[in-house]
Formats: sequence, structure tokens, C-alpha cells
Amino acid sequence: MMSETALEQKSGSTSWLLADSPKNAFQAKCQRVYIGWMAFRSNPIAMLGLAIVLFLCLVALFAPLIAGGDGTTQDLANRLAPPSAEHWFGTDELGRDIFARIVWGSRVTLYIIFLVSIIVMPIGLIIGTTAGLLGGVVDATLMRITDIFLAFPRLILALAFVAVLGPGLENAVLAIALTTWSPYARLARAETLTLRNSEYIMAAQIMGASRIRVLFAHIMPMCLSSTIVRLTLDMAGIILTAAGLGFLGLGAQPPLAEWGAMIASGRDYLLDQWWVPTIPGIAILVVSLGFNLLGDGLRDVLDPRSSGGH
Amino acid sequence: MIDIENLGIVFGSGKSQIAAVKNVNLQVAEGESYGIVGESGSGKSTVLRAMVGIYSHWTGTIRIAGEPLKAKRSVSSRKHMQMVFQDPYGSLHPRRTVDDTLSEPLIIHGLKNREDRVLKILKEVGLGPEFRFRYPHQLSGGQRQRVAIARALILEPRVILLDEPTSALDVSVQAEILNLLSALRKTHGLTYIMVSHDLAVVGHLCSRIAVMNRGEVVEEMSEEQMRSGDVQHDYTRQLWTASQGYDRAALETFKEFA
Repeated sequence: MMSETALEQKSGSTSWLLADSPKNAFQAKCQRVYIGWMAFRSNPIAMLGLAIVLFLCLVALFAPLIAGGDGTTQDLANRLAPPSAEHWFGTDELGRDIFARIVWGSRVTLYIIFLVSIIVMPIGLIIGTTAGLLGGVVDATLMRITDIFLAFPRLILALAFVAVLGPGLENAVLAIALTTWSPYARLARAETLTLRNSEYIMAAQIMGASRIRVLFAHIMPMCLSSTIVRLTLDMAGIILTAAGLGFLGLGAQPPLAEWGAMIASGRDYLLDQWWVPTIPGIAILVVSLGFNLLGDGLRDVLDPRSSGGH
Repeated sequence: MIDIENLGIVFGSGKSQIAAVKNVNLQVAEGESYGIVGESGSGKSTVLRAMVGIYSHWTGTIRIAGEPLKAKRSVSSRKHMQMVFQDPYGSLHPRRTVDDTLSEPLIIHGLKNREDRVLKILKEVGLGPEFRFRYPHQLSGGQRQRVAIARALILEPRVILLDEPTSALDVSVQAEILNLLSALRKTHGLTYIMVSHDLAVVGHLCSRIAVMNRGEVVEEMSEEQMRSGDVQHDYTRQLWTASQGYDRAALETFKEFA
């Protein structure tokens, strides 16, 4: 925390955020976020990760304005053109502007990430914390199911799911989510086991809190931060798995611009027209890196032992 | 008010079975403050945890105001007995403000006027309204223990169980917390059972003291006996000698009591 004198020199909103005694619950929550943000801001690598992720979001949001086309317009007379002022990243084998396709592809990538997150986090958290809190037969059953999912290689299981459900973006997302949740359940269970016997959980039980209340109001908030960190660190893997499914023709279907599918269709031209598969490869690399760096930074800020431990 | 007969708790099974508490009998009158002392592992905290229902596999009978307690408690019966824990750093949820912590028991028991009750109880434990929206990591150890006491008191229980409430605090804060507890007992007519390994702390607050060793009560002594050291059992005498400060000659005479 900052010293008193430094506090007084700050402007109105900052002093509100750093006030010694918050006036209401909203201010207390804001203060917590702000202090976490100050810690995050002091880590330049994490800020770089955040910048990349925010950039991805902005590109996806303003894709129609940035791309200058829908990325599916073919121009066979101008196929496999090298990068130029007109086509910044060149054109592919059907004469489509690669820059436009990369920009539109960012939407697909974000869509995959968003869907996988909202499926994986609740499933992993609920299964893990329930198993950890209830113990006994429930724990054994849930954890053996988790073990089964953990035992399969991720891409192979995803392939099997897609083979059953049929190729397509939604099915690819579902397949990735179904193969990704198991480590989260393990993580949440391990944290729940350490929390279960803590005195604040006992205090909640003594005051008459039901198991559901203990689970959702006391244990889950403590497991949430490590899950978020794990998810951001896994994002790179999720993007790569999605790209892998796209590469194998089981993810997004043409003409939808998806980075993995773009690499797949461009691999024949790698030697003579290197930009066709390389540019989407770089896009995947940069976004994966961005999420990894963000995850590393978040881990430092969200770790309950460093932010609220003492 | 509290009547415990033949309380026994066994942990584990087969060869690793340990009887943590054996045949404990206690009677505490309404408004009395009763102490349990003993070394680590003597089973004193286990007795409290059985009373509040954290451990449900105990044997014997526990009666509160004549009502025998069952292994499974109803939510409304929780109101009558609350507990304050040893470690103020571990007994408050790190992600919840003081207000969240104090409001929760009121929400569970469906009590109205939550804001008034929270402010009133904070005042009673000597914390101003400026502490209401702080997180535990913004409080000192003594302030945290005051919040923990407020949380125990907010349901207006008749019995409060104190599990070494001062042992994690430094000496000057210990005295403040003990004085607060003793004042609260007078104003609310509370019945206390306090567990400690520190005879001085127990002697400050309690009028009768049970000495536990290896899961059994070896002796019950009065305040005067505690002051004068006029005790019957060898283990009690040893504990009493230890509380008089470090003495190498006395230390050499100490032995294990099985």
C-alpha cells in the first residue's frame, strides 16, 4: 500500500479507490480490483499479453471496418500474389485477400475461446468442488469419470467426438470442451480439499450454512482465480487444438476463415508462396503467446496467497 | 446450562484407532465461564467441536438447557451455540468483507434489519463503522478476532465456545480481547466454555477449570486452587509449575502422563 502523503496528493477517483475505510460494498470491491490492477500493471510482460488479447478483441469487434471485404471474394486472376500495398499479406490459392481472412478469422478464434470457457469453467468447478466437499462415494465416482477423460489424448478424443457429431465449428468447440474440463475438476477438487477443513468453512457450518451455500458462496470464489489462471494458460492449447481440428478439416468448414484451416489449405504452397500458410501460423503464435503471458501475470495477481493471505 | 455426560470421540479404525476424548463429564451453569486446559493433543478442542457439531460421531450425551443434542443439527438450533476459533488469520473468509461475514448468519437465519444489527454488533466489539467494508487482510490480528467474536455474537446465542481465542495474538492484544469477552459476558449473560493451554488466560476469565490429559479430565479446580497451586493431581501440578515460567530444575522433574 502507498503511504498517507502519497494518498493525499492523488486525484479524487484515486483517493476513492485507495480510501482506508470504504463506505459501501461497491467501493470495497472496486478497491480490490484496483489494487490487483496496480500489481498487474507493474508487470510489463503481462501487460504485453493483455495488449495482445485486447488487440484481438478490437480486431474481432471491428472486423468489417478493418478487413475491407468479407474475406471470401475470389479473384482467380490474382491468385497466390505476394504481399503488396493492395494485399498486405498477399492472396491465397483462390485469390482471396489473406489480411481480410486473418481479420475475420480472429472472430472465429474468439468465438471458440468464449464457448470453450463458458462450458469448461462451470463443469470443472462444479464437479471438482462437489467431489472435494462431499468426499466418499461421490468423490470416488466423479474422480473416476474425470480420470477416464484425463486418460484419453486430447486431440484423439476430440477427433472421435467430431467424427460422431459431424464436422463443424460448434461440434469442434463441444469436442474441445469435453476433453478440456477434466484437469479443472482435479484442480478445483485439490483446492477444495485444502479449504474444506479451514476454520472459516467450519464457522459457516456452525452458523448453519447449507452445503450448497458453503459450496457456492465460500469454496467456489476461492477456486475461481486458479481456474481463470489455468484457463488463460490453456487458451494457447485450445486455440492450437481448434486449429488442429481445422487443419484436419473437422473444424470450421470452408469458406469460413479459420486460421488452422487456412494453414491446412496453404501447406502445398509453403516453399514457393511462403506467406499463404505462414501468416495464419504467425497469427496463431501471437495470440497463443498473448494468452500465455496474460495468464502468467494473472497468476501473480489472483493467487489468494499473495492478495488476501495476510 | 451445559451438561455433558460420558462424552467419547474415537478417530480412525482398526489398529490406528485413537480415542481422542474418553468419558468426559462437565456441568456448566448458566452465565458461568468454564475453562478447559491441557497440552496440545489432550482433546480439549475436540470436545468443543463435538458440541457445535463439526464432529458428529461422538458418543454419550450433551444437553444444552436440558435439551439433548443430536448428531445432526437443525439450522434453527445453531442459533443457541456459536464458536470463536483460535486463528483469526484462518477463521475469516479472505474474499469477503466484514459486512459479508457478519450478514451471512443473518441471511441464513432469515433475520431482518441486517444493516442495523451489523453496525450494532461492530460497536459492541469495539470496531467503528469504518471497518464494515474492509477485507480481512486490511485488519490486524486483534481486529480480526473482534470480527470473529462479532460473527459468533450476531445470532444472539446463549453459549459461546472459545477455542484458544487469544493464543495467536500478542500479549497486549490478548488482554484487550479477554477484557472484551468478559464485558460481553456480563452484558449479554453469556455462558462460556474456553479452551486454552495457557493457565493465566483461563484463570483471568474462568471461575472453574477442568484439566485434560490424553482425552480425559484428570481434575477440576476452582479459581482459588488455580491461584495458590493447591492441586491434587500430579499432571495438574506439573502444568501449574510450567505456567509459573521457565525453571530448569523444575523442567528436569517433568514426566509424561499416560
